[in-house]
Amino acid sequence: MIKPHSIKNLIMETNMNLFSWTMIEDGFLFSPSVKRFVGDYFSNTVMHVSQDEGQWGVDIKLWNRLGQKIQDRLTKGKLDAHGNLEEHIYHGQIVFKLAHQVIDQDLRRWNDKKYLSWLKQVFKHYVELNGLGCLAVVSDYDHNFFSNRLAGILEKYSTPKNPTQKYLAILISPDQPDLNWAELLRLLEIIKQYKTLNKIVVSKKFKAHAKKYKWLNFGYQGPLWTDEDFIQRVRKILKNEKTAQEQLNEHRNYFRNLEKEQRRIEKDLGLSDHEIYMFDQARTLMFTKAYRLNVRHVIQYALETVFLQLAKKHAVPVYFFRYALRNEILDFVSGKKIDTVEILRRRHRVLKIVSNRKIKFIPANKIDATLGRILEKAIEIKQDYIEGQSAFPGKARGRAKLVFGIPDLQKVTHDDILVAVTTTPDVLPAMGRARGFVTDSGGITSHAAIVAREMKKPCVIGTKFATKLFKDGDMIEVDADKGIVRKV
Amino acid sequence: MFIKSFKQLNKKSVSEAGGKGASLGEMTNARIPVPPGFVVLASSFEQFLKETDLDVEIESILKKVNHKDINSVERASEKIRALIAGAKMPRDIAEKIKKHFKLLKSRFVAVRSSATAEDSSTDAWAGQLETYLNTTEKDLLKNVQKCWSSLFTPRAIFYRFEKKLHKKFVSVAVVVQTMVQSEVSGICFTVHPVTKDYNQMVIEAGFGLGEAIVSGSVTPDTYIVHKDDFSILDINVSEQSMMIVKSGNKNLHKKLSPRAGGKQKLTGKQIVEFAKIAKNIEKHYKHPQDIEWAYVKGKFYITQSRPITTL
Repeated sequence: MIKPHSIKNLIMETNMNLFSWTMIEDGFLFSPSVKRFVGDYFSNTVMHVSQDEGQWGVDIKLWNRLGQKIQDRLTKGKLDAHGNLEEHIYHGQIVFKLAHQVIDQDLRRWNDKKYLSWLKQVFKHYVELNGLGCLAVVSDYDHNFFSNRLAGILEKYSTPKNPTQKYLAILISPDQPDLNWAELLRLLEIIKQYKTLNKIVVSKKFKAHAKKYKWLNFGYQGPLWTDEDFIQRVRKILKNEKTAQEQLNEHRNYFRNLEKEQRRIEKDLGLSDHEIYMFDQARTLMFTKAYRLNVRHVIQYALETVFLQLAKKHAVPVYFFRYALRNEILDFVSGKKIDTVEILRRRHRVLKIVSNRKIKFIPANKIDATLGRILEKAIEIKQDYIEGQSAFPGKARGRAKLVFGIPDLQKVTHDDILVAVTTTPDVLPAMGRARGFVTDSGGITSHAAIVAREMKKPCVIGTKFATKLFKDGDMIEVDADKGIVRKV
Repeated sequence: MFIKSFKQLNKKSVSEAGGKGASLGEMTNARIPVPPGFVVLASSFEQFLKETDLDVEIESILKKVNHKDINSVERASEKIRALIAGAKMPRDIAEKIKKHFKLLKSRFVAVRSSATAEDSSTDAWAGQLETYLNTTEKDLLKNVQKCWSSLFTPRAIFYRFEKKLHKKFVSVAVVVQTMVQSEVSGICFTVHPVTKDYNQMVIEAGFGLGEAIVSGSVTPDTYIVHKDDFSILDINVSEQSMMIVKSGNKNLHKKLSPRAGGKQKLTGKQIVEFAKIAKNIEKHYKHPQDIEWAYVKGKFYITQSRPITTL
C-alpha cells in the first residue's frame, strides 16, 4: 500500500506514453544493476497518463533518502560516475546496433518470431540502461542535493571581487562530445562545402545527413525531424554573421577550450583534489544524461518503426503498443490471449501504481479517488468536464438545457446548449434553436451527429454522463474541436 | 409493372424504386453483398391512391396544414394515415407482392419505405421514414401500407414544409428485403465525417441488429481505418448496454453486462476485411458513402449505401 499523501514529486511530461515511461520506471524498479545501490528506495510509484500526457510521482521521503545516499556514496568514492557511464555505453552500443537493424531496413521478411527476439533483446538492454540512469537522475532531482553540494564548494572560495558561483555552469559542462555535437559538426562541414542554400539542400550529402539524424530529437513518440527542419537549421547557420568556416572552427575547438577553462578555474581557485574529483563526477553525470537522450531517441524511433509494422500485421492501432507494458507486448506478439480492449482503453486515461514492486492498474472510476488519497496535494483532478467524440467541430457557450422528451423542447432558447441522452427527429425544432448539442450516447452516425453536421453546430456525442454531470441552467462550453464539454 | 427484384434495378431507378431501392439494385448488380429482395414500386402506391380515390382527399387535407402549428400537423397526419391504413390494397398488387415474397424463401423480411425524394444528394431524410423488421407473410401487406403512410408522419410532413417539398408530388416505394439476423452490425462512413479526412474511413459496430445504432440509442465501437493501406488508426471500444435481438417475429431489447457489452465487436482482421468491401463500394459509386452493414455467420452483408451529403 502506498501511504496517504506520500507522493509529491510529480514529473509532468507531454507527448509521452505509458510504454515509454514504464520502460524508465521498470529500469529504476527492476533492473539488476540498479538494485545494488537503490535497494527498495522507490518501490512505491504512481504513473498517471491521459492522452499522451503524463504525471509520474514517487514517495518523496524515500526519494530524498535515496538522493542523500547517492550523494554520500559519490562523495566517498563508493559510487563512480565513470563506471556508471561505462556501463551505459556498453548497453548503449548494443541498443544502437539493435536500432539500426530496423531503421530504414526492409522488414517485410520479418516474422513474429524474429520481432519477438528483437523486442526481447531491446527490452533487456533498454531497461538496464534506464536503470543505470537512476544515478544521474536521482542524485539531483527535486532536492538538488548534488548541485547544492557543488555550489557549496564554490561558495568557500567566493570573494566580493570574484563571485565564484558563475563558474558552476562551466565546471559541470560535459567535456566530451555527444551525438548532437557530432551532428552539428557534420552539418557545418556540408554547409562549408556547398556554401549556398540551394546547392546545399540538393546535395547528396545533405540528404544523407537529414536521413541519418532524423531521429535525433525523436523523444518518446516523435515527430522525426523532417528535411524541412534541417533546411531551417541550415538557413539559421547561414544567417549567422560568422562564416560557416568560423562556426566550424569554434565548434571543433569547443571541447579543447572548455577543458582549458575548467583547468584554469580549478587552478585559480585552488580546488583540492577531492573537490576537483567531485566536479569531474558531476561533468560525467551531465554527459551521461546527454548520452542517455541520444540512446533513448534512437531506440524509441526503432521501437515505433517496429510497432507500426506489428500494428499493420496484427490489425491493431499502433497506439496499442504505446499503452501496453513490455510483457504484454511480448505476450501479444507470441500469440497469447491478452485483454487488448483494456489496453486500448488506457490511452484515454490510465493510473498505474507500483507498490512494493508489484504493478497494479486502477479502474477508471476509482482513479480520482485514488489520486486524491495518495498525492501530497490534490492536483486539479476534480471533474468539471466530460469527454466524448466530436461530431461537428467548433466551440459554443451557453446554458445547458436537458431534453429528455417533447415537453422539454420549449425550455431550449437560442442561447442554449441542448443536452440529451440521445436525440430523435422529434427534438429537431429545439436543435434548430440551440447553439450546440451534447449527448450521452450514440456515435458519429447517430441522429445528433447527422443533424449537427447538417446545421453546422458544434456537437459532442457519446459523453456517457453529460445529462448527469450538467444541470439545467449550468453555463457550459462545448469544445467540439477537442471533444470536451466543461462548466465555465 | 408494380414490382421489380433488385436485379432489375439500378441507380437510375430512383423515381420508381426510391433512393433505397435504386441503391440496392445498383449494389446487387455491382456484386456488392446485399441481402436479396424486391421493391414495391412507387407506381403501386400511385395506383393504390388512384383506385381508392385517396389522392384527392390527401391533397385537400395537406392544403389546410399550418406547418408552424404542431397540432395542425399532427391532426393532418392522423387523418391521412388512418385513411391509408383503412383502404384496401388493389388485388393485383397484393397478389404480386405475395408471389415475390415466396420467391425469397425467407420467413422474415424487412419492409422499409423508400421515398422517391429521399436519399437524393440534397435531402438526407435521416431516420425520417419507417422500417418494419421481422415481417412475416401475415403482416406483409399491412406493413407495406404502413410504409406508404409513413410519407405522412408528423415529422415527414414537417420536413416537407421545411424543405419546401409540400407542393411537389412525393411518392414512395417500399423495399422488401430478406432479414439478416446480424450478430454484429453497424455503419461506415468512407470519409471521416468530422475531420473530413478523405484518407480515413470510420466504422461503427455494435452487437445485434443495426436499429439500435442507427437510432443512436447505444454507443457503438468506433474504428478508424486508413484507406490506402488498411492500417487501423483507432479502435474505440464502447460498453454496449443493450442489444436488439430477434425473438420469434419480435425484436427484443436484451440487456448486456458490462463484460459482454464491453467486448470488441469486430476483430482487427474483420475490420480490415470490411474496410476493403467499403472501399470497393465507394470506388463503384465514385463518391464517399454512408454504408449500413451486418455481419452474420462469417459473412458481411451491406444493407444500405448512400452518398454522404454533408461533406
